[in-house]
Amino acid sequence: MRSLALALLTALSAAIPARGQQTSRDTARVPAGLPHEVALEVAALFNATTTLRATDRVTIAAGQVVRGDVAVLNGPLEIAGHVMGRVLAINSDVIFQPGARIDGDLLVVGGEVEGLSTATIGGETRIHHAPLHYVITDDQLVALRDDGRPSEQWWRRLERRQQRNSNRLEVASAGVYNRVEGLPVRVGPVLYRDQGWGHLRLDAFAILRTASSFTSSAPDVGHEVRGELRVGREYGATLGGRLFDVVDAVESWQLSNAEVGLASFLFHRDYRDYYGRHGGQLYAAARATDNADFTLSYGDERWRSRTAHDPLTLFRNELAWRANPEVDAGRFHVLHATLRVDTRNDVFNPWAGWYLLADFERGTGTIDDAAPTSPDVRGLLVASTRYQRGFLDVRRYNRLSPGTSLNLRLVLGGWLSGDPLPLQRRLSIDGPGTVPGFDFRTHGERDVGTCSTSDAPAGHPAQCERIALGQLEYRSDAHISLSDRRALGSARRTRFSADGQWVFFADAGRGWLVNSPGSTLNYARSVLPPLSSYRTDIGAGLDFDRIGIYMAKALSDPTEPLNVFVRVRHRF
Amino acid sequence: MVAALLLLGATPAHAQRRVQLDVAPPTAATRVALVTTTNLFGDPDMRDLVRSGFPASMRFRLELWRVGGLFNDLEGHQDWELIIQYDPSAQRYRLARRNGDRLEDIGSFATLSTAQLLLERPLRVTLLPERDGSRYYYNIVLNIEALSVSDMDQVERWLRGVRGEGAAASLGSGMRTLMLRMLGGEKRTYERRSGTFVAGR
Repeated sequence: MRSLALALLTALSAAIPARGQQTSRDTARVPAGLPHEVALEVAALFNATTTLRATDRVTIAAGQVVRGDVAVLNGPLEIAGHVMGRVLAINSDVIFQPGARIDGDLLVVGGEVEGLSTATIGGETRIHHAPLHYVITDDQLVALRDDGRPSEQWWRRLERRQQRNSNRLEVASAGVYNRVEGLPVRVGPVLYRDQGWGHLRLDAFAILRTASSFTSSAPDVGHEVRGELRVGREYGATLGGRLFDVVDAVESWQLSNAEVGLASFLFHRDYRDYYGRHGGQLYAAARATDNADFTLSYGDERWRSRTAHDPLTLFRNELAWRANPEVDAGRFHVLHATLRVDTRNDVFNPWAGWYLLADFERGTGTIDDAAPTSPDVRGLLVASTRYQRGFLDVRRYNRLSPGTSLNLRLVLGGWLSGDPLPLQRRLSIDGPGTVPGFDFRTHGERDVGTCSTSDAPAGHPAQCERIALGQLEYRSDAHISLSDRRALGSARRTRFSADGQWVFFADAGRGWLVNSPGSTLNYARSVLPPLSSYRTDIGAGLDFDRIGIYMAKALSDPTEPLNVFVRVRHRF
Repeated sequence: MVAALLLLGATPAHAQRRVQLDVAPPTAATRVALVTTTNLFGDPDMRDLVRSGFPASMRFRLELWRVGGLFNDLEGHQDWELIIQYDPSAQRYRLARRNGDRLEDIGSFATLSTAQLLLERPLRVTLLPERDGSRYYYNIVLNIEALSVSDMDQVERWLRGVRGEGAAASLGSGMRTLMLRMLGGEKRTYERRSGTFVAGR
């Protein structure tokens, strides 16, 4: 096919000379023009270099050490030794021999670099294939301006655009589509300054909620104002503070935002519960690479219940939404210490490595209005409360062979000490993100998923004080190809082809209480419930990277029907 | 609906020419791994975006895995990135390569196809096994992403009539784009593994 195209191109160029010349020019690679700033930088560097400056071939032999900068005009420059400064090559090729070392930056203009992978470069490497136009006046190199060239390096411009190093007005979603807010949209200015050593950021957003902000009876507009100072890039620290009036999820660890948003918007099914948070927070974070950080935060917040509205959905719009459960309303001071370590080779499609998220929370406050719970789930409630809560999510990804992997996940969370947890800080093991063989919020008597006993409050909230979840999955490459027979002849035509993975999984988990001696779901603080009491399931599915479809069957309760569900990206 | 969701994640064979990735293990002659990419701008949506002036990033990640007893070990990896953007003033496509701290302005091209021809040359990567006699394989992942494609950019594209579609088709395209963005944005991921080989032979 390519030969045919080339032949056609040749024929066209022979028949129509003018168009042929155009084609020849269009298929050529043209070195990008040298930005004038770079030309000025190069001239200044060349003129300032005193250690080793040459206008002819230069060789730095193996074992030779140059204690300073090297600048070569016309060259070539061959390096096998060690340059303790920076290297500048103008209209010159640079040839590295194995073992070559440069402690500073390497800047090449109008030349090629050979053997770069065998050399050690301490600083930044920049290569411009376009030559420098210059004159030598009084032993000084003077760059000539070419007005047709770009004013600066275009990728730097792109990088700045990516880093959003500018002030702007931002209009963006402020969270997932949900039954309390509809689509929350944040509108406001963002001030961002990249200072080289870090960045400064200040933003102030009004949060508009499509389900409630535009009703005349109850205008409902939130806000979020944040200031942040970040020092360092790969390693460093962050200091910040924020003022907020937002709607937050009670449990956001089970499903991703995309999954919750899609399920709400498409199928009228919201898998999270929400509560209002209004207050301020200060935080400090230490960062060791992009893969590990430790954050401390302290907040003074007022928590309150939020009611469900009736946002539009694509399907089943005529159904009523599940009520959003009431929460314990009051003012709380909350301290968080959070450690995150992520050594996965790929965040979205991991084959190896660890993921660890550990969070410690200490809350003190006053409950002004206690939410209803199931009978026996908590005893007499005192207004003033003080609690400690922990949450641990550990995942390990193992590649067994080029096409198979075995992944494990353990989640532990809940009460550590102090008074019973407020309702919005409690947890559950329920729904497609945990033990998917059991349906979401459908169990009544002695429910080890949400810790409801007999009557569950409206909306069926998570009431467990502790949870434990173990997940295991085996993945194997799969190629799906659907074809049909052509109308004429016996050839088959591929209609659909996709690479994916077979997934086989097993899950076990449950929740329980520790401060409710009268409940059958209560266990002593120092013991784990027997494994026989856990919800367990097994299942299988096909994962096409972005979307996976699965089937799960409950083992611990054979009366549960087979569940079919869809997950966005991997299960964990 | 489930089928519709699945179609978003999978690739109908006839709908587009897929990007082809290949990685050849080092031999006694080459001494490096050779990474070949074919049809890099084969995705019509991505071509459309780049031609409309949106810069595109192509992030490569080459991993070297050692076959172990129970589990395979990731011995090393190399990442690099190509960035392409259409320059309307020069009416040329500009191409740069970034490899950690190394930046290389590769040049400019009149057409995407010309740029693609250059990028289809095998790339020599010195990510080599450390243990002679052990069994290894390479895994190459390519993420192609249109940069800075905000919702406003999308709206602007529709208003400009880039695709020249009717209202119904635009609505359908809009829904699909919305779904895609919720599922991971204007991003395509391609992956390929080499065969297993024994180091040092």
